[in-house]
Amino acid sequence: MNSPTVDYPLHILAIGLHDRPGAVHSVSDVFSGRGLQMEAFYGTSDKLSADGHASALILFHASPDRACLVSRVIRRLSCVRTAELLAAADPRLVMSVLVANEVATVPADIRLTALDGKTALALGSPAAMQDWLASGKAPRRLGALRLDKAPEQDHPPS
Amino acid sequence: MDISVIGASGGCGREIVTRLVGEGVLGRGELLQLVGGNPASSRPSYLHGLRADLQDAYAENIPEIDVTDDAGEIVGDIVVMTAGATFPTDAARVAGLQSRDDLARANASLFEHFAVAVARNRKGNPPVVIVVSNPVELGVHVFCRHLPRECVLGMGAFSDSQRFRWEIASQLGLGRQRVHAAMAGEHGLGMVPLWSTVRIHGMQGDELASTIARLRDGTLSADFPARLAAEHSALMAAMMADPIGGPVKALARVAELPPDLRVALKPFPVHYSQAKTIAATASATVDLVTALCEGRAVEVCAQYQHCGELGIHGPIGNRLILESAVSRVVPGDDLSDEEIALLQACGQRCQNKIREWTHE
Repeated sequence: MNSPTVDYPLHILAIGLHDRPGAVHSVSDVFSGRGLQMEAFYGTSDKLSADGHASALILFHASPDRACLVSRVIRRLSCVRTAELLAAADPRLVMSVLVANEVATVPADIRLTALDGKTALALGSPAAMQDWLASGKAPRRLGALRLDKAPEQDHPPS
Repeated sequence: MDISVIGASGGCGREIVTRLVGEGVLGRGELLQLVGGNPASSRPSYLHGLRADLQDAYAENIPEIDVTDDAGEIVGDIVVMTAGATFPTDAARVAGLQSRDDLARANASLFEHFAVAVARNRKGNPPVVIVVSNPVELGVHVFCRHLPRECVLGMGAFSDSQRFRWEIASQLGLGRQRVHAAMAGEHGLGMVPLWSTVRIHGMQGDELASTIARLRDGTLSADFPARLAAEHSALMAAMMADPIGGPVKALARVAELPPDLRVALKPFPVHYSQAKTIAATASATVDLVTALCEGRAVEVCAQYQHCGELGIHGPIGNRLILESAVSRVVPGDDLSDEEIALLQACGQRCQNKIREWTHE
């Protein structure tokens, strides 16, 4: 995919959603209406979320001004509980990917855990992970990237 | 496009919001933000009720409607400023009428509050601000202190031009869409009728010139300010003498005047009839918003902060080319020397007034 905005910084928008039909559509409308492309979208319903609340993480490239405006508009949508714009290096974000279990140079900010003889799981911040994967020193990727944000509070869902 | 209407619970704000939704200017997925203009409002729930009512009325094709009292949360690509004090509508109180100076003092801090809030988060992508509140010239001036002047327009001259077109059209028995004309200058008693811009579909040359001469009934551009001041004094005196039937008699009196004077004077009896000029103002505002939403390049007449264009300085009404924001002032090649001189004098008067109001 060729995005006209790819030269801009990577942003992550962490959204708390009301779990109802059309919520994701409303959020994506805000992006498409401004010509912004989502690089990735990770969303879950209430039942599948760690804290019991539907949420979404959206990766996108945009100028800082436009990223800020998009997050402010999304915060005003009736289907949105919270919206927070995060930097790619935010320590609350964890990006993971399955890679081939082979010899590789692993930076200090990436954790690589062997799962079996063929597969390993790599974990790190989005910024660190993307740099590593683009460096040519990472093992072969076996799956798509996955992004999670650590829950705000460390207690089980009510 | 997302649109924020500041002062959406006021008469004009509510009418604009209702028309924006009812006429489908915004579609699903677009945001219409209802912004309370008064944090100390005695009706804090009003906008929430209005949102629910609009959803009930126009559910088939309704934009996302947001309600906020926080100026810092304004996110519209177009911001319509309707908040602020206005003149009382009771004809019995005409004698104790607030002056334009009072109105300016009452609304200056409100303009400043919202201009600062809108500009704070929008340095790189300023919205287009349409000032409806009065004095509209002061509103344009204050918003331009915080936003690029190309992004700030005043509705006064746009409404006045719509009225000018109607007054000409109605006298000729035509639909307004067949008449092109601009009413520039200051919104109120400082307006400048640009008769040189009048075009009537199907008329050219001598026929057009003789029709315009008949409409003007021998009046000259240079005499317009004095004639307007005299007619205004007489009209207000007549309304004060009869607070109950005064507005109706005043409307009849105005109907006998030439079109340009009718444009300037008719809003007074309409306002003091307590109907106010809400429908016309809202309709004109929605027209302008629609043109901006559609991204068309259009010529409009609206208040704009001049910086020397046509020798004019100050936030007065003039013809502009809009291409998502103001791209340029229309050159005045087709205007008479008298009209340009009136515009320049009007700009100077506005600047002096604004200095007085803002102590700049």
